[in-house]
Amino acid sequence: MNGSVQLKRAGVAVPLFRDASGQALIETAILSMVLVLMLSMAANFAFVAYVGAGITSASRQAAVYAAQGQQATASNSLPAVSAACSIAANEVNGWIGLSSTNWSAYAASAAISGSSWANSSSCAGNSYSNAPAFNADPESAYFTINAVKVSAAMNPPIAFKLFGKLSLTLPTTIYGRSVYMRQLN
Amino acid sequence: MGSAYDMSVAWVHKQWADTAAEAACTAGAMDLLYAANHSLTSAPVTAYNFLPSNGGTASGDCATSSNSAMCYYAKLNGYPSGGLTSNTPSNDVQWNLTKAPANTSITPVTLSYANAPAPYMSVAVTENVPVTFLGIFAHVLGMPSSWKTIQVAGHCNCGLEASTTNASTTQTIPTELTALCTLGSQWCTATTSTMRGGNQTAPSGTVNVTVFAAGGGIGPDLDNVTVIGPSASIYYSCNSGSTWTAINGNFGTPNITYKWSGGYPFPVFVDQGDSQVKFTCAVTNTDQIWIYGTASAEWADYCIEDDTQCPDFDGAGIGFYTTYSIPTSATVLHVTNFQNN
Repeated sequence: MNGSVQLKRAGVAVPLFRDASGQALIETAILSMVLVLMLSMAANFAFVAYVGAGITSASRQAAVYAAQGQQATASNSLPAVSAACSIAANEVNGWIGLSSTNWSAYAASAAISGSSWANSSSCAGNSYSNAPAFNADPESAYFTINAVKVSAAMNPPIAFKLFGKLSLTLPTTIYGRSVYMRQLN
Repeated sequence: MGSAYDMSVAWVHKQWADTAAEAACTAGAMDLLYAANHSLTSAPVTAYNFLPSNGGTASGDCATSSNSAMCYYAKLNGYPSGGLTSNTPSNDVQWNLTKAPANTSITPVTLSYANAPAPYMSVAVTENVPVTFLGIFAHVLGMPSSWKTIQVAGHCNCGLEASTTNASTTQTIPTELTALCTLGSQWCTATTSTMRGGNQTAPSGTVNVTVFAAGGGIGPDLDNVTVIGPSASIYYSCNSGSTWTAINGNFGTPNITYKWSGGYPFPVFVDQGDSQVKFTCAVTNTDQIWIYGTASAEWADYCIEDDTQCPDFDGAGIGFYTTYSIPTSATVLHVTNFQNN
């Protein structure tokens, strides 16, 4: 900058314009760190939303299959609970991309006028696997209820530590979604 | 990025709303299916009926009328439907019976009985999703009452669809259940006896023949019983090009327990201990089915000559009956979901 232009104040020559190139560099460095952090957080959160939506989809597709199943191909038989569980597992394996140790699927169905799940199947082997809460169909003499629960422990893909010590990464989140569908007996 | 966060949240809620709409629509359509299958004009449980008493269409809102399967299942899937409140996290579920499926190429099903309900329905789940960063921006911009929520909606159209299925119908064909031959009291010749009169055209399907022992103590074992047809010269055949095959595992190593052995034709069909031998054969609608049974003269002769060898055969006989498994077509209704969005 122009360092030759000076003002005189109290007998001291003060540069009117200082050389600010170093300051801009420092500001850019600081802002870049903040920006990278924010982008990382955004990516991590997007992953959480992605997995969350995928788990919802897996539960939904499996519950629909349990409730309608082969009736869609003109058969009178409905699939076993274990088959619905497999549908959920395939959905999760197929496109969510979670490690097999980080998710679980659990399918259950009630009997006519039952007061608890009559059939259940767990088809993924981690500790998050537990049955969805039981609910009876309001017309349980004629219909039964199918439920599929898919759970996952989501580890944000981008780990971020400030100065190598302070973790700014989203914590591991366990997320589960249950879907209930009705079945005609 | 704040906007991206809020929109991501809204997108996940959209998936939830779609799921709840599909579950609710399926539940309602199951009521429709039950009603159609039983020619009913209401849901099976009156307290949860949502079908109009005079048939046709109807609509409802779970915020004001929650006693229906749609509302119950929407609630189970996270949408209790308290009604929408502006700029406040809230949700609502609405349903509508329709006579034709919306925006699809599915051939509409018509329920022909009196006061039949409309066979299709749609469910809409609407939710005001709370936002975080967009709310802050709105506050900064001087619009504190705006952008507190984003409205998302899930829809599902569903209803009944007809399809043709193959259902196996079993018919018992009357047969002459008189004994093929009676042992111990007469000379049982090898002359064949017709167990089904005449040549009849069989429908396409499978014919099952069960040869059984009847009367007289424990009954004879059924070795040397042969099913022949349609030509008496072709053993093991039921029609041209087809072959009798055993069912229930009754073909196999002979387990004859007779006291006599040797010198006789090797058993063709062997009783495995239940005094029945079963055969099956595929037939077409052009096959002429003649079924004969024979018992070897030697077998009966042996018993006649020395009754002490097979005393329990006295008065026993052999007969058989046939059943057809005929594929028949039937139209069945089932629930289908379409256009979920």
